[in-house]
Amino acid sequence: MIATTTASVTVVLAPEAVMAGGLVATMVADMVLPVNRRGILGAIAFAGCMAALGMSLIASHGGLEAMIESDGIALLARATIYAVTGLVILTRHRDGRLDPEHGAWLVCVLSLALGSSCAALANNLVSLWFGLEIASLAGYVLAAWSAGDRRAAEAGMKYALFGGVASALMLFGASHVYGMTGSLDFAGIGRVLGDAPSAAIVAAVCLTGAGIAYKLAIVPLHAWAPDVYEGAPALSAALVGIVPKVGAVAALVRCLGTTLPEGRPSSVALAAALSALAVASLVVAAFTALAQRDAKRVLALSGIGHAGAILLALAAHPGRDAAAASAYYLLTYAVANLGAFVCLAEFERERGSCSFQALAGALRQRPVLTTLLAVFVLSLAGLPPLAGFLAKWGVLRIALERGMADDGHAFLVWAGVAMIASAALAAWSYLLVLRAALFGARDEVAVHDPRSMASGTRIVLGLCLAATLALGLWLDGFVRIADVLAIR
Amino acid sequence: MITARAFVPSLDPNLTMALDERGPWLSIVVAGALAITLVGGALLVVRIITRVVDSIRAPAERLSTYECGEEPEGSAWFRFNNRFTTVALTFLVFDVELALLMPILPRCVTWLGEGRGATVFAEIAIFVGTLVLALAWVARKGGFAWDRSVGPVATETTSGGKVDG
Repeated sequence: MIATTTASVTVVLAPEAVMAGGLVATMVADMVLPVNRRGILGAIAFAGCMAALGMSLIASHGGLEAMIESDGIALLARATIYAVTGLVILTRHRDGRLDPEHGAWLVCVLSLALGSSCAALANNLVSLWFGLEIASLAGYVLAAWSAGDRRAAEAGMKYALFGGVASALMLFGASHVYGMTGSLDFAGIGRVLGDAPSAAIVAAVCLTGAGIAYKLAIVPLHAWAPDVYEGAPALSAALVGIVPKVGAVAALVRCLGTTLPEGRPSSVALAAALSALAVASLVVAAFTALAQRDAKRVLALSGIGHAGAILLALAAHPGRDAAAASAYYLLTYAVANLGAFVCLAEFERERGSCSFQALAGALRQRPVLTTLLAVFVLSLAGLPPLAGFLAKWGVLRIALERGMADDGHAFLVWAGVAMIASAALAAWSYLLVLRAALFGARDEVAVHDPRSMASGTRIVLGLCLAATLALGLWLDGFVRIADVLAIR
Repeated sequence: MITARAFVPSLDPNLTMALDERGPWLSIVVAGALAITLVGGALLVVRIITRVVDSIRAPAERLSTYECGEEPEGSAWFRFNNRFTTVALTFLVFDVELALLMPILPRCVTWLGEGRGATVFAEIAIFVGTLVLALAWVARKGGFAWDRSVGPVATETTSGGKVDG
């Protein structure tokens, strides 16, 4: 039995092994290469990401000793994580060569991807915590990356303190879950949860969920997101806003799928709790975003709202359709968010900040970049031809269908109504960003860095634009994704 | 005799059943009294020893940073060189990672019994090799460079808190 396990470790975890190899190769290259050849580092890291992406598409599926489960959602999540990471590395390729610590940055980015994909594969609280922790530690460093920038240092510190508390809560809860259920794998916990769980187990499970809620920035644990996104460099914000979220959502989908099969009595209570958290995230994010005066803060709050929408789709579980709706939402969020943050990184490099004041007059100076930003932001807002609309429609459809079909789940209808209302409010806050960029008064904006866009950034923005348009027109996307999720 | 047996830590249920015949309160009171006597006595003995040792040795020397060996200069309340952080963090990494080797040992022992020593060696070599690589990386980045020029200022008073350099 052990022999077969070892044989399948190499096959199931091939993308992670490739990624770890790329990470080590980057470190070694960082040590041995002379300073003027450091441009190769980015190429090595990018090649590692692309190789891992390729491996994740062909790697075989299966489980390893109730620790790791490579299934359909893991396939989607891993491909998204490696693609996003590769694109961010490509975006920083030109500026990275000017950073003497570019090698360390790359190592952090690759660690973030590696940890997130481990979390995406987790079938066990230990492997989940392990993956989230690797991703978190890399994320803290990335958030504080701008050397000498006090705001970045503050962002990193806040992220680390919040993350430490969330991680401790999760471990504390997991230890109680283990004490009361006798198992740490999702299936074993689900067997105990199924037959009338005690209040103590419910409390322990809630504490364990805190770790995931923190990574997703769900409402009780969302307060770090705006401050961290604002202070951190835009590319770091893109990474910590997308990559760990993909991993955490994948783990959540698998956790719900294995712990709570359909028809269990406690799944109604769980659906109610999830939709309450989802509605709270949607509403709080929508209202708070209206008061912001910084594009990165608005995007941070939009991230909280989008996490709420994904959670609402999961509240309508079980069923492959709910998982497919959340996975599709996650894809469109990742693509549009990456595009928007790459645009903002470009503005940040040029103007030193992404506040509404700094964005003023952007349309006249950088018409193409501003138009691209508008496309990505409108996709996040959910405007019809773009990807965000189909995603929102999918979540809404699944919530309404489930709420109307089942009297016990009638609250899902109201949650759907709340989602529509908060989407309208959130759209207003996105329009505030666009108003600043499109119609802002042409003040004297100090230009820090007048260089034009790097070719890597052009490629990334082009790919994000193509994906945003294509996902918006991919009408059978839900069916295809549901087919992928059926992989066991 | 029955009450005396109560203080023997045992998992044998018969002993506690015997206590119940005399009523539970008696055993609780006796156990509590004995606990207080033992702990209080121990504290008293320690206190007496401390007093005696205090009177023998000079308190000034006992309050110094190192009682023997290196002679400390100035107060310890100054800003330490930031480079200590790197050394401390690297130490911590090795400390924790080596502790992580412990849980895999049972599996390794099983594998050794099955004649798969090469697998065990490879697993641990990969793990430790990664750590050694990280150590080399930190060293290459100057994490262990002992830069005396950025050291703390020697003219510190006991109030401390001065900015160095």
